[in-house]
Amino acid sequence: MIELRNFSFMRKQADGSVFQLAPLNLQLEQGSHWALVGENGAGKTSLALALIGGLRLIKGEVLVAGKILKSAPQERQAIGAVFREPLLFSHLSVLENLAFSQKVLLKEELLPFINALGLTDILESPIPQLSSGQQQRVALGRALIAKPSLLILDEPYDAISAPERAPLAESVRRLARAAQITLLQITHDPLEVLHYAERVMIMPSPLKNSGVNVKYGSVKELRNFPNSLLTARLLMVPSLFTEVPAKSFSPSFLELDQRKAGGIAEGYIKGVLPAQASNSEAEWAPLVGPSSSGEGVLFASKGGLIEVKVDHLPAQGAGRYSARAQVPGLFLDFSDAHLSAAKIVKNRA
Amino acid sequence: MSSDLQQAKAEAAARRWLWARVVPCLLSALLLLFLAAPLLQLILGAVGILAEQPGLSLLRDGELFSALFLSLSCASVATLCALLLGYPLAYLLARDLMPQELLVRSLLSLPLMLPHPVAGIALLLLLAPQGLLGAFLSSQGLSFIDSAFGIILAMLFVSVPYVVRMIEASILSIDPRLELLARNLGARPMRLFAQVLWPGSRRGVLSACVLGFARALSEFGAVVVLAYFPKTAPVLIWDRFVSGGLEQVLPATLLLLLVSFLLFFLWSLAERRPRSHD
Repeated sequence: MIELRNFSFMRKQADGSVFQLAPLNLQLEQGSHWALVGENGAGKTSLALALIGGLRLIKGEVLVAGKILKSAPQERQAIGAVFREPLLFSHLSVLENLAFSQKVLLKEELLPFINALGLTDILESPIPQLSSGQQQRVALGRALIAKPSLLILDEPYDAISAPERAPLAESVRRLARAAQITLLQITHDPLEVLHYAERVMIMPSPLKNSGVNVKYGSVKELRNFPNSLLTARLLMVPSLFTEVPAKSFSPSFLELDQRKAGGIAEGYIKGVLPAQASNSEAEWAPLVGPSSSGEGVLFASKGGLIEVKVDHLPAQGAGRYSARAQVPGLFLDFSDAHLSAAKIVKNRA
Repeated sequence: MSSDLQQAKAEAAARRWLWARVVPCLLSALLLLFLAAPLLQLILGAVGILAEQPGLSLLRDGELFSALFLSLSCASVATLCALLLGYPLAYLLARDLMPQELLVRSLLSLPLMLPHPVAGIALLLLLAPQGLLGAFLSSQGLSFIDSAFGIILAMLFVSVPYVVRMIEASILSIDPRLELLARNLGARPMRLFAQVLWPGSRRGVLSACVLGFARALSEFGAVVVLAYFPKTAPVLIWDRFVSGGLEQVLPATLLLLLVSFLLFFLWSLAERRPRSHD
């Protein structure tokens, strides 16, 4: 088990602003497969560097099997990383690179890794003579052979040609599973997350000088009920009013029908589903939103018209109103809609 | 119409050719001529004088050879010192680990700007028997004034900025994550140096040493203040020029020119990397 307790780090950006991770509390089961997704510049690689001790301003604790790890890189051997570039020791042979973490070079112990990663024929080759794909295989082998408790894969398959990518990723997963290595895979590919990861961390883009809050949850749950527009986008969940082109659900409108101003009220949000989503089974699902918004239930009709019945509207009837509706496989975001005492208000989208 | 177009195209190509090739070539030629002409003149003058002298008098010039030997050996020791002391500093600077970095960088650059006799005078004050360090050193029976030690210190003072800067550039070219991964995989400091830092910065260190050595070898201003005796080659040449004029000095300059040229030629040979075709 790998545990992060109040883990956070700071990093000065090139533009002088400070990137800061809000304290993160997280437990990663041994042998599980996590994905880490986020937009460019969200700080995913920084998180990887912080975990292996590569950043200086690190707070909080990292525990592996109940033991607190000190923050220096040589104390973080229980956490390994492979980056987009192979970062090999180029004057050493492939075999020496693979065995870098080993005190004694026992080739027999390395054989399962060498065979699984297809390195048998290039063991004695000088690193500069290898293709970038081969180099990345060596880097993956070097990291796996060190048998860390947690291995961070920071988009390591980018240099691998498309047909080789899937089999290589599968070999890595198999080797990791056999050694009970927890994988934390940083990726931009939603399919990779959906197919292979059990749980996912989501990093929103940093706002200037404010902490970044990492969200996480099970992939299945978040795929069915994404809790934010970002989650929906990163996991390729179609979302109404934002991602789907206007044509496909025109007219895009949101109506709020408030029966009573103030107190407990009933209201409706109506919209039209995009064609592909409207084929899904009509379902009632809980409507959740920030505390200022109402709570209610959502009904998606087969004809494509959705209607959200809001049970509890905020005490003040007028003002900014946002609601998020959840239907499996569809993200609905009615942010910043305006609710007035009047009966019907169109949204801004 | 099409012939107009062709003509315009041809004119554009000719303009490009003029600005991309002809002009840079002409400017380069001018600069190279400026560098080569005085040296050529010097060689011609020296050869003329040597031709008038009986036998191979230059090769029997014991004073010149011992001065040259002193210069070469002192410059070697100074370069070695600059390397040993400069590498750690370059590392700290390259990896942003140096406190008061701006101050340190300014201090490090000072010898580049300071007139070299000023550097010599400063060192002289420090090392003279009345100076801060000199009092202690002379009580230990060590003298840096008019000794090879003094020459080495003066050479070190003026060459160390070049050495540190070039080593720093070579360390900067090593991805810090490579270092991080080596430590993460369990490498202790010595192994980190031997297997990551040294292989990655070796070429830069060689260049730094050659440049530092060249700078040390050619130093005159600081050396002459601190140690007129024993005479290094530049000091001897100055001495002969002042006392005996061109006739006395030209053959010696020829020898120094040859040695310098040979050193840089060998360096360029070692530096040359095979051109990749991919």
